[in-house]
Amino acid sequence: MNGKSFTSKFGSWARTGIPASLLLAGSALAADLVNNPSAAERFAKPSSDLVERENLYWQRIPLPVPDDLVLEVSGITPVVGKRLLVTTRRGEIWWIDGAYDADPKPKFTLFASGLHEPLGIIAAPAPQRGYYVAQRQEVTRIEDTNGDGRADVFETVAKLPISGSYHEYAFGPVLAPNGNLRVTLNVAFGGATQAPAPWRGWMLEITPDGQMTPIAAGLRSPCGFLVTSKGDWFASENQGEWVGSGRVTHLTPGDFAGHPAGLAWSRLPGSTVRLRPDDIKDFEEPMTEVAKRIPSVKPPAVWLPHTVLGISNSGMLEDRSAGKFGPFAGQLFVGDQGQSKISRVVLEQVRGVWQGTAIAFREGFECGIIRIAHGEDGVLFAGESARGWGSVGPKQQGIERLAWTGKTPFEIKEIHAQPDGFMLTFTQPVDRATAEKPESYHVAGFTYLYHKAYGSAPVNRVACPVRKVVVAPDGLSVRIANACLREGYIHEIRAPGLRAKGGTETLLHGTAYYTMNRIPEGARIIPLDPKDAEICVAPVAAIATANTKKHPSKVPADWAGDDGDQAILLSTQPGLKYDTTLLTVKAGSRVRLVFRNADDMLHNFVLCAPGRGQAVGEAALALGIDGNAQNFVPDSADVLYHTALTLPGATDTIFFTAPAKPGDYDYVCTFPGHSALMKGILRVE
Amino acid sequence: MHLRVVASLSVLFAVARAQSALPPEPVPLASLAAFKPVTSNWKLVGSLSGDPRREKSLTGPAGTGVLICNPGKDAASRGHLFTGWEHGDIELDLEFLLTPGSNSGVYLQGRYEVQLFDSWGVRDPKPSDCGGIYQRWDPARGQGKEGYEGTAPRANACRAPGLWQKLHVEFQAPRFDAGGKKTQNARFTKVVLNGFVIHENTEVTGPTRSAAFEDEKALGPLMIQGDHGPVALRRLAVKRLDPGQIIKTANLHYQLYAGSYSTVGAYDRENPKAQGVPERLAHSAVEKSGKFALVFTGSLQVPRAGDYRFAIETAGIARLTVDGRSVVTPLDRGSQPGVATLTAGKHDFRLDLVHNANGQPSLELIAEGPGIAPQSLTAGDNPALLVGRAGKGGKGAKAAGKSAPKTGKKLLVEPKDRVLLQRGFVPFEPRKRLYAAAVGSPAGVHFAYDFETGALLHAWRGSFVDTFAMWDGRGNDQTAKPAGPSLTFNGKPAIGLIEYAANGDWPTQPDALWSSQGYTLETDGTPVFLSTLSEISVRDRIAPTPDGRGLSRTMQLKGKLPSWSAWVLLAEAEVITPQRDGSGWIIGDREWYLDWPAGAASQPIVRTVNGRQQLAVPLRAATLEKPITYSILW
Repeated sequence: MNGKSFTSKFGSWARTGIPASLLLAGSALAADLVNNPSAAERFAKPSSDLVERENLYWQRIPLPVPDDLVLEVSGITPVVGKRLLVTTRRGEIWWIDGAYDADPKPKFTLFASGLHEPLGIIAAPAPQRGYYVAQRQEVTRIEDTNGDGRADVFETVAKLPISGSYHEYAFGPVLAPNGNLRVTLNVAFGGATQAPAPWRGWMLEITPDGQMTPIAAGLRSPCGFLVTSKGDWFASENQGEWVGSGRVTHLTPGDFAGHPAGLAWSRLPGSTVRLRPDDIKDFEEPMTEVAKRIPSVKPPAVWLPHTVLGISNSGMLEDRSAGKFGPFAGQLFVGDQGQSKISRVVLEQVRGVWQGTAIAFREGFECGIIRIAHGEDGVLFAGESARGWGSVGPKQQGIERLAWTGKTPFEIKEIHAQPDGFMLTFTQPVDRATAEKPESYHVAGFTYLYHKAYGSAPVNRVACPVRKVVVAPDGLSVRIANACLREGYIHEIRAPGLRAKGGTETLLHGTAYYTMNRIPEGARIIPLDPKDAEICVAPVAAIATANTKKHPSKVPADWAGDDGDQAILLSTQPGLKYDTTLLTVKAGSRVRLVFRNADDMLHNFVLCAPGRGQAVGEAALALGIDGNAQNFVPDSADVLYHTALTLPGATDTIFFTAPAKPGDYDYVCTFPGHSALMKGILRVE
Repeated sequence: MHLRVVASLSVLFAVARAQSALPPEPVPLASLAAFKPVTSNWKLVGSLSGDPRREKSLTGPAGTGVLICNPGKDAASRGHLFTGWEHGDIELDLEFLLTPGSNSGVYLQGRYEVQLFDSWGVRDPKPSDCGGIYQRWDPARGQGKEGYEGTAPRANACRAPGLWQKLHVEFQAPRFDAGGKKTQNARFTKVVLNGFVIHENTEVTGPTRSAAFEDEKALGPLMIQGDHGPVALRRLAVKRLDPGQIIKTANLHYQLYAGSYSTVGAYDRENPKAQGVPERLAHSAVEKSGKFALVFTGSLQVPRAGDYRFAIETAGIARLTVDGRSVVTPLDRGSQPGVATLTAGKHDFRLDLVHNANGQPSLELIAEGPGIAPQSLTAGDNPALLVGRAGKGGKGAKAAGKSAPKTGKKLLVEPKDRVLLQRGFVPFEPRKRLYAAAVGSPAGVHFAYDFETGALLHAWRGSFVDTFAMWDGRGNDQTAKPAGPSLTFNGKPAIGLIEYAANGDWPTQPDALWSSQGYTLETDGTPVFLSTLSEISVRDRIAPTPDGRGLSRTMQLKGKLPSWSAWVLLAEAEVITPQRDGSGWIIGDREWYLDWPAGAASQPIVRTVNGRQQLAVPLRAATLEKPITYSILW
């Protein structure tokens, strides 16, 4: 933590004298909970080249927060007069003044405290006064009626059903165009029943006098949701059981977005969802295929490929800055907690169905992003907290401002589906010479399995050969036509060979993911090729669980049936942790390592050469979408042995001979984004 | 960070267990036979009469079961109470009651005092306050400096005069070598006052002030101080432990079965892979590998007759039978401890261990008996791994010299200059309350309120609230825990619509017509809870009493009464009796006081339903809108 520079900035905060009432007992604990410098050192840094380039266009300005204020920002609402009102996971609401200053030294003033993990705040629309927040167990209207700066009315607008599981988050509220409020309710954690209380996994609409109407079911962890300026509702989702990857789903009344837990309540009065729990089986096939048979199953408008565009998608925002925030007015932004980044989503409706593009926008934030909000002048604020899951970046919580510098990067602006491919538009004219070459583009399709298991590997991946390219006369768009276009599939579109006009500048983000729910009708620029049927068949995906030299899952023949010299049980713990961070073995001893994944995310164990853990972790991150097929274990001499990528609750056992050379060998989880926190030492003696 | 070393650590398995599981034996108070002859200040009575909340002496009707002490002015009426027996290591439970300003003490071995004192209302307790380990005293240190050492209780858990208070003490006597030289100080392993742990592992270097003996010995009588102030005692129970008493095993034999078995006994008809006489009762005494089942048989020699409790700690599945009867029963994983009543001498036993999972096998058999401290019968076992052990009470972590287990951590929120309300789930039996809040005041009196029922859940003093279970990591429990010594109420709906007014029991679930509207805060942060029940609206204000010793509650109702009989519940207990001076009621067996102001518009009545009593105000149209105000003192 950058304590030195911060303390000098807090004269104004000290005068307002906050957390008046909050004392942390136990200094060791306090150190655990606030920014932990030793943890900070261990965090992986995102690609610094990319972050540096991104910073030329969108500049990140962290707002200094006093060391003893645990500002785990969970909701942000801008208030006229360049003020912000933010909620925190510890249940406080703070005024922030000075957040827009060039060299911000903001003043924090406590507005309210004592809420139960509020995860959003909005100003109440007239004639109501004050602010609405969603706490775990209710939607509350909060107001300062006597003007002393502290809230004094906490009115229960609607009681939300809960069972007491920590995983029952309530997100929102979001103001509906009709003046009502909407919230989304997280399912409970794991186990047989993830919706022990009504409406878990649903989006609800609530009138100002507390009447609740269920809107849509099938949500898992819908941290972010919004209504667009045109009145369409979209919710972001976190990968998990039944959810193959992060995604954004369009929700209308009666929709079912995929997670079946909430269907337990679809019989209740008011439900417009007709599906029942028995209708959803452990399908083990792409969601798009299931949706063809069961039309009530609603595939997402856009998939955000897991580990590439985040691992825990969060707050969403429509760019309503009318250009003040850059060239992407009307597009959506989606934050991510685990990877501390923001992705961009560009939607279009094809044959009545929402679909579109997801592409990286900005990474390198200091901490996992929970909420994003537009302030005045089109700036964006990102509210952050890593607690409970860990995130990339040096901080445990905070708030940052992101402002457009006025420079426009060379970027894919939009992608529009075509009957035989895609129309890409750009923020700047392309270099005609590179743009006209089909080999400047690579397209491949894949999707995820719809099943009970936690997350899914990308499946049915097929390359889609680019057959023809047509560059528009103004150079601002390119139409590419390719084979193997598949409905319901995600199409990875890479343009590594493309240059901006002038011939040198590459795309800031060269890979986009277009979810093709419907292929549009219209004129083709290449004919249908009957031979395509042959090349467009996906190879059977091989998941690397087999016994290999580096994944020795079988007892070696020369162990003659005994258990080796030493057995080690290594487990995971929630929050990106192994239960043990120091294992000791004798040099050359035969080790049986049982890796048990007790967490609710995917993890592995990768034993690395001394000091090479972080390098291996970064190499795994660079594998991108292809990493899944190889357990996110990079092909590297630094990797000595590893387990398979292990599902929650599962174990994987490996048998290996400890290195002959004594020393401290790193072990890490190479699931993208985990290695910075999830690591330990195997000490060879 | 919770670090744990897994590999290549040897573990001391015979770690002494501080707390045993057999209940202590009552010391009868039907007579004074258990005690040395007493002076005239000590007297057995049947119960308490008079008003010990306000009067400075204790009286009671003829009878037995309660021992009262009213110190007189001369030696014949100021003697201490000594047990006829002596003790070394001991666990004891007793209930005591003090009059205003009274002072007494429980002296372990007649030497080491847990202070009993009317410390009601004290904010920052000292060693001389109730529950303190009193200071030592040495005149040679010079005037004003005579007192030294002493340990204050962690919090003031003392209740008001005239209320019964519960004390639990676990004490370890000093240890001496053969030459009589002290090798280990006496130690209060644990002291719990009114359910709140006020000491853990508090060492005393020698007798505390006013001890009956200035020397230190392995044994001494239990003493209750009789010369300072009135005190009443009842429900004394002790477990005296003799460290010299050993449970032995002999004639050991083992049978080893190779393979993965799912249940105990599944291998009984198979031929053992190996059998023989083990060097000692320990799985490591038998050579084996992989998955297996292991059966030990032999005899168990117990030194005296009585109840023996057995427990097995294992990563596998285990069972213990004694004389052919199952005592420790197997579970899907691990085992369930059990108690066997044994005669002194030899008994046959059979110990089964099924090891059918990955990882190292483990087996520890722990036994305790009448006056016999918990001991490991598998001592000497020394497995290479402690995988999976540290979670069980942090023993592994302790053995490895690592930091304390996470469960000991706290994240306290304290109100300093303003009343604080913190929403969170609130611990309550049988289920935590989900729509609830803790409210803490700078005056040091706190409470938890349930929005779903309008009920007070707990009231407490000391630290306000521990948010560790909400704010650390994901916060699996999401509870805002009372962090000080607390009093727990019935948790039933504050207002009941009762169909059959005379006999209908109080509803346990919130009424469907009850609806919490939230709360407003006064300028100092004091909350006023707003609710409706049918056409009645309720403003409920709960705040510390002006003297900061209790809570004052005012319910202001408005609107129209429903057609059903409606009542406000003030208290529920097995017995509710009026206070002698008419100032209110004594709730339960002198558990707390409810004070009712003179001249109130409405009067509560005591209803008796299903053997329990309820203090409740019947709502009537004429007085509906008159405030209902009362105080809770404890």
